[in-house]
Amino acid sequence: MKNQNIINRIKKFVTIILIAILTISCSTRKDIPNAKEEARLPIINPDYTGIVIPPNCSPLNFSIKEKGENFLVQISSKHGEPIQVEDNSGQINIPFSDWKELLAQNAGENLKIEIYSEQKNGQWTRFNAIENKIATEKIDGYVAYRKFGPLFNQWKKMGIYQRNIENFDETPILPNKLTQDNCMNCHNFWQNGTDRWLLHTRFEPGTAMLLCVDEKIKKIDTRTEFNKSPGGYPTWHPSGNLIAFSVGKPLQFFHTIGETRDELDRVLDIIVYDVKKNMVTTTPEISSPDRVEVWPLWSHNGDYLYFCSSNKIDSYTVKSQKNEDSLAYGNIKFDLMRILYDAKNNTWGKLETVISSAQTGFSISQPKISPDGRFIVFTASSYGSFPIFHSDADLYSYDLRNGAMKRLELNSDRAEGFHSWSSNNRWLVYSSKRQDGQFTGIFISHIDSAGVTSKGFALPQEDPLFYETCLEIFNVPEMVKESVKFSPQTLARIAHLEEQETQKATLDPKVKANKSKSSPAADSWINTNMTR
Amino acid sequence: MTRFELKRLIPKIGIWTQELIFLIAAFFYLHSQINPILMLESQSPVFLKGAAFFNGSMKIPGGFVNWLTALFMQYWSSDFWASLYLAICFWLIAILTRMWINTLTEKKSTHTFNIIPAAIFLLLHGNYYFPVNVELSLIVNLVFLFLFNKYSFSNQWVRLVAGILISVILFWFTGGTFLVFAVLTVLNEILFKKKYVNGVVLFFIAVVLPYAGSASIFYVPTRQAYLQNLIAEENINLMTNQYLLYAFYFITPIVIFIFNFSSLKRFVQKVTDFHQIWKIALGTVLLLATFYITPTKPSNYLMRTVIQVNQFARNGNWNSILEAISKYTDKMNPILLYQTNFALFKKNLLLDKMFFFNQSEGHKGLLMDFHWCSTFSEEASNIYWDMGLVSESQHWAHEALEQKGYLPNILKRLGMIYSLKGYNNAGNRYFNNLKKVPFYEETADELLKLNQDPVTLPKSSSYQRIASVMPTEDFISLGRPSPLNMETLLRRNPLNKMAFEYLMAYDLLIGNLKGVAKRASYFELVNYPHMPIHIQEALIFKESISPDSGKTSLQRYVTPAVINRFVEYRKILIDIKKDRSGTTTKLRGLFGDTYWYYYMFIKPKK
Repeated sequence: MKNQNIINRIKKFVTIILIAILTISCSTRKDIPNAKEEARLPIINPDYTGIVIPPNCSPLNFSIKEKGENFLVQISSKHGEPIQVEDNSGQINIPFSDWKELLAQNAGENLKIEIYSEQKNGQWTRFNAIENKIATEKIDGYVAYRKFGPLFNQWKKMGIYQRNIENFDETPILPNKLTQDNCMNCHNFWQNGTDRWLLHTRFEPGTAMLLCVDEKIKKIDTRTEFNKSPGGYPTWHPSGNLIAFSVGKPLQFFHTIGETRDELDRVLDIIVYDVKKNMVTTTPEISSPDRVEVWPLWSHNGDYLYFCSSNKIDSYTVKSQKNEDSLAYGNIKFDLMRILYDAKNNTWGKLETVISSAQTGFSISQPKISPDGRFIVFTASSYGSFPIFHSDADLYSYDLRNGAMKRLELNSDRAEGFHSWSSNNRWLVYSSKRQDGQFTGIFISHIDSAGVTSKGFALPQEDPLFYETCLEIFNVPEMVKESVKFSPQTLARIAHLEEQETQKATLDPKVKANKSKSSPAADSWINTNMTR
Repeated sequence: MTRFELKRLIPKIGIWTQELIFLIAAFFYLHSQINPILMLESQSPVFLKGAAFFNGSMKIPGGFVNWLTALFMQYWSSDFWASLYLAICFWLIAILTRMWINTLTEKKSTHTFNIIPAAIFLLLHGNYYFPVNVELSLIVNLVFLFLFNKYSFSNQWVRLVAGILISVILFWFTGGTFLVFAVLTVLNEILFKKKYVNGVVLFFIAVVLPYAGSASIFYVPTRQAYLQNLIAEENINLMTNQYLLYAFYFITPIVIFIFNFSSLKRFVQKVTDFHQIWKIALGTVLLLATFYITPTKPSNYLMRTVIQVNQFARNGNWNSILEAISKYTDKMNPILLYQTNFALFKKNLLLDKMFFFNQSEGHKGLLMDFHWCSTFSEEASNIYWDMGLVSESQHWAHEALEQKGYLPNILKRLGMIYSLKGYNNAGNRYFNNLKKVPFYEETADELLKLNQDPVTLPKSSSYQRIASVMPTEDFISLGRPSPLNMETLLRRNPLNKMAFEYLMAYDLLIGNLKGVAKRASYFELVNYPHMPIHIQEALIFKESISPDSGKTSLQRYVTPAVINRFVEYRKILIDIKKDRSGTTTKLRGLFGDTYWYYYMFIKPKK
């Protein structure tokens, strides 16, 4: 009897739930009668207007910055049912599965977002429809980045994270909570995969590179007699067996107006780490005592090592107009250079200047080559090699087939940089301060076969107000096809290995022999906040 | 009421009265001796309204209690409320400890003994860095411990499952403090309930749970998983008392167990065989005596003074700072001098009275060096903000944000800085977070409204002064305090009083007498009511050690009173050569407040 009672109750409960689900799913779409036309685009944040969206992108949730008591948004394309979202605060959370379905059905088509606002008197206003395009090419599933506060010298919470672009899942690769609140940076993946990748940890529990090769992680100290500082700004050779790094000592300084922070590059060299031999090598051409070399980049076939290089200037101190000592930071401009490399014999060829700063007038940094080897996209700014602090920093492309160079269409009037190519050559993710000039966010742009880029859009977030409240910086976005296979705890355990368990890189005997001729490489890589 | 009932009721009333007396005594002790409001300064509890902050808190073991404590601490508007909160926590701990002990004994008449943990907490809070979270964590654990002991299922397996579930939940909600529940439950199961399997399994769970949690779900180091809200690791001097606290809970069931099985029980009963109410009274007297003999000053006088002075500065109580520093007898340090000089400036006394205080840190006591700024970043940001050096204020406000988290003053400061610099949307991000801080919604709304209109913003009252003095030309700094900063500010606005006075004070402190003499005429230009005393002292002192064309300036700027005093000083100085021992003390007594004395006897060597 008692059991029967319980069964009856369960039946009743299930019936109610079913009715509720049926009611919700059968609810009719709202029609907008007599809407007044407003002949302009509505203001929404983030700015998701006139963009190209990957067909596997997560919903573009946004907030409407128009006056109104209620808002209605209709998202439609050529095929499938339009999506309607109504919200009286203007915070638009697009239903996940409806969005995915709409995008999947309409790859290559336009995506229309119509926004209506209702005033107190019940009058509806219809704004011009936002027209976006859904690309046919998918974007790599993940983006890995460094997340932290807008730092000056100190930090507390920092970590390397990975975000699934297809949904909103963000998981830590390694949060510094697990590694004694230390500094970490320079995460880099070989050919957009997670079979071979690396990141760096600085200070406690040991300055080292965590190198993952074929499902094994090692803790490696890349410091040698040549380079007392560990490597940074890594680039993988296409073979997956060599990694080139910058080593050196930038100087942090501060401005009284505009962007406060800045970096001065004085002593920077390039080294190449051989993964199999655990050996560091270099050549005077890429670690010259007379020049500053930074931002190495292997060509897509590994025959060339590209890098940025600047003449050392005589004095870093200049007298200001008021006869006060100041820094000659504005005089440092980097060229894009390259050198032939024979990986088989570890021999270097002749040095060539690819783009001269004297000709272009700007300083080049952060070159990144497309996986098909056609374009190099680099950052150009008025001086130096750390452009994220320079509002004039823009992304340029250089066509390796014909030497054509152009400023990309995706740029804004704020700093852009730290870009990464998708494995299919069709997407660029990059850091930009375009939202407010201070907080670096991750942006995505489509790039077609001719190198034409679409307007960038902020990495979608579940919370429509995310970009109005988030006080963290997202930087060095690296596109990856899949998520990292190791748990943060495993990586933390490796990071905590004692010194005797850390693999200490050896120095190439050839370099050892030439050491007296080599560059006075920096004593320490003050790399605490290198990617703000 | 029958006589029997009354006989049973009286001890109960006695126990409740004792605990109430403890509550009142603890409240007054906290209020008068500890000043728990200072814990707000040292512990900076961050709390934001909304699901995101709550969800973030729940990602670490013990995060819920941290969230709840931070919420409660938002209501600590004065020492009264802070003392009341803590006293109630101590009271609850005493009551819950009694209720737990009563579940272990046949006679339900525990008194005095149960107040020991609460009394230990009082001692622990003599250190302002002892986390307030711990009390709440312990209270939650004691509640569950009592409920589990009293009402848990009699079936062994159901009881075991319940014990495991509660352990897991308590670990998640209260962090390492769950070990109090787990270990005491283990002891209860083994010693009193004779459920040995339960005891062993629960012990295993207690040992393994934090490790398993940190290795799988929670991104916290294993050590933190065990110790979160259990032990304040960073304060070594608290260790003994902290261990005492947990030793009490660990030993109590063992002692009760031994008593139940030995002749000791009969002996103790015999020795203490007098009326219960007298025992309670004696216990109460003992407790009150403990309050009386407990040192009236918290464990670290310097720490307390620094925290107190910083809080006075935050609230703009400049007189209180000067009063506190006048009474302070220990060694000075840069932060204390920094706040003292700031208070002197605010009272228009910097160049008249700065050497009344022992400026033993030299210019570091005026503008802290990089190391001290890094430690007291918010304080560093405050002075640069007042001075108009917005970028430097921004630098230290960011350091403070990293160190302390999203505190309202820091959010407001950074929002205003970005707004002033023209990064209005960046400013909005800070104001939007400020809006989530309880009691700051209105301020945030006002600032957000102002921020919508970049044209009128610099003219608004909250921004106007800074907007009129902040530099408009770029100046490169390497992050070290420099007189060049002040000079840049003066070029922007010669009427920047703070920049000028700090520049003069800086020159005085480093002994740049030429610089002082060079700018002396400025005081006339901007109509100072009189030439500040220390400037007069510096001018006459400069003339005495390197006579040049200073005669005119002496006649013009230095009053006869200062000249006469200097003549007297020199006379005694000459006497020092004859009788060194007595004269230096005399010199300090008579002229310890002068620039001459600072220059010759206190000024740190480079």
